[in-house]
Amino acid sequence: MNTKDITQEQISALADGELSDAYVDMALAALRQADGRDAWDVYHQIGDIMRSDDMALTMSADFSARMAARLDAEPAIIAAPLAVTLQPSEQIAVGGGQPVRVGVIGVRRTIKRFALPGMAAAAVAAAAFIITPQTVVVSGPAAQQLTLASASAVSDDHVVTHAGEVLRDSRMDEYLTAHQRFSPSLYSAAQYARPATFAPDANN
Amino acid sequence: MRQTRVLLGVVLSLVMVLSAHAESTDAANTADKQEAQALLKKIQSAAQKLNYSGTFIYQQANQIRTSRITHVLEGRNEIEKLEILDGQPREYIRRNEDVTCYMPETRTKIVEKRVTQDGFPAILAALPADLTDYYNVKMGETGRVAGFDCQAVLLEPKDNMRYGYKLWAEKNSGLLLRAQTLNGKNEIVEQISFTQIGIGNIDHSHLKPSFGNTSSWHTESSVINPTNLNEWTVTGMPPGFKKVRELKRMVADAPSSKSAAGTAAMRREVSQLIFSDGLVAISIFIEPGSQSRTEGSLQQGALNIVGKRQGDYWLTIVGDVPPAAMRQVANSIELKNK
Repeated sequence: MNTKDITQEQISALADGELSDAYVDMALAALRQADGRDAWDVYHQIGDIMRSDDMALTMSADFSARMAARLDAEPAIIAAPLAVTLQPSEQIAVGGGQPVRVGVIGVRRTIKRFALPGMAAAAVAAAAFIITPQTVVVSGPAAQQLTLASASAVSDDHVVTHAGEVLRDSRMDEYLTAHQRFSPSLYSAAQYARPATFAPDANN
Repeated sequence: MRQTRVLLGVVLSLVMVLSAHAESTDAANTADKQEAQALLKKIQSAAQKLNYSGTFIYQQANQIRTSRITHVLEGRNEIEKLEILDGQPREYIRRNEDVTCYMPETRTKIVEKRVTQDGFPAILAALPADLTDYYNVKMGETGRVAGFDCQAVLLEPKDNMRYGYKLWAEKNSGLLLRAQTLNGKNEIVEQISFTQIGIGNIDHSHLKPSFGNTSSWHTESSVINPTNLNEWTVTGMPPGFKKVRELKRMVADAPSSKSAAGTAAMRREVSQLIFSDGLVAISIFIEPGSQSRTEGSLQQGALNIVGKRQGDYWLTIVGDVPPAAMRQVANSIELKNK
């Protein structure tokens, strides 16, 4: 493996929250390069799409920059820990499914964190920590008590906004289903075709 | 089964309205309207009485979904199977009023009564006899859909509070093969169309669930409680929209990934008000606003969603109407002081 492969593997591990502390500095340095950032973005895109077809979105070009700027603009409420330590159970996130390999030549990194959908949100939250250590992003019940002023908390329990839009989440699908059940709309049959419709959470 | 019910409802509404008003229409348009009326009647009975099986595709904004429907009349029993072919496998099998939804990944069956059998008469009862005050109904062009020659019927809205529709019916049987929703610029915002269909001579074995023996599956029945939500008023409903239903239900939130182990799903009560002009509906969901959420709106094809906070409540408005109508509705919802 050449240096580039190693770097990409480290970036992937970082995205998985599995990179050992000794290499974090190297990986972060790699992320300062365009190549490294591209790899980082690609790994996340792959994971997003694996989690849900609805996530197959193309972000606008300067999404990261604007996101970072907005996070910067937020008041820091709690001092963030510098390093993120994931629960052991979240590090071993390979479910029953086939491990999925990235199709980049030489990159053999298994994208483990997306094998269990339930862990994905936690991993994403962890990733957000790494990108913007000055902002606290708490997942789970704590996030509900912690009401961030501009509501950009990345949490699986929230409707995350993007440019004033209420984004689709499983709760939204419930409303849509309930609406369509009583609507004489021509398209009710097709509405049932939504992946999340009528489905209890897959983690159960 | 949704499909049939839906076609039936659209057609029933129109037929009633049209028959009531045929006499009073302008002489020049009478022939055209009567023709359209006859075709709508034909569409209605075709969906109920014919045996057919086909694959249809539904397009909403940039999304496409594919499903397969099989409909058979066995003596007096209507049996219908709807299979979702994209994403998570789902099958809905309806025998007259009883609907079973099969969810293989959790080995669950949801059993329920067909809601719209209640819903449709209710919608029809509440239907203003003046639907043609809000839509112009006329014959459209002819064309070919899924290998069949079709005749189109147009429903053109008279205001900007609703979308227009174009329905394509197979010329011989009258079966609806394509439906399109048109916005104010006459652009298609949503459409559904058979890509392949066989009419008559349907193999009845296609009506069985595809998952083998499902007797060991977990069975749930879905329960909905009618209620009275008169304390909520909506003054901005577009003309022609009447309240057709009000109900309450318990909704289980999916437990978050962190708390999944051991923690029961959060349950909350959601009220729903449904308004309809006979063709489409606007739902208003009301729930205590204890969770932190962000206000906003979302458009997906012809479907619009608005989320907003109102005092201690969180409101979600879902409607098959243009954004202008959604805004008007969302800004006019009030809780009366008792």
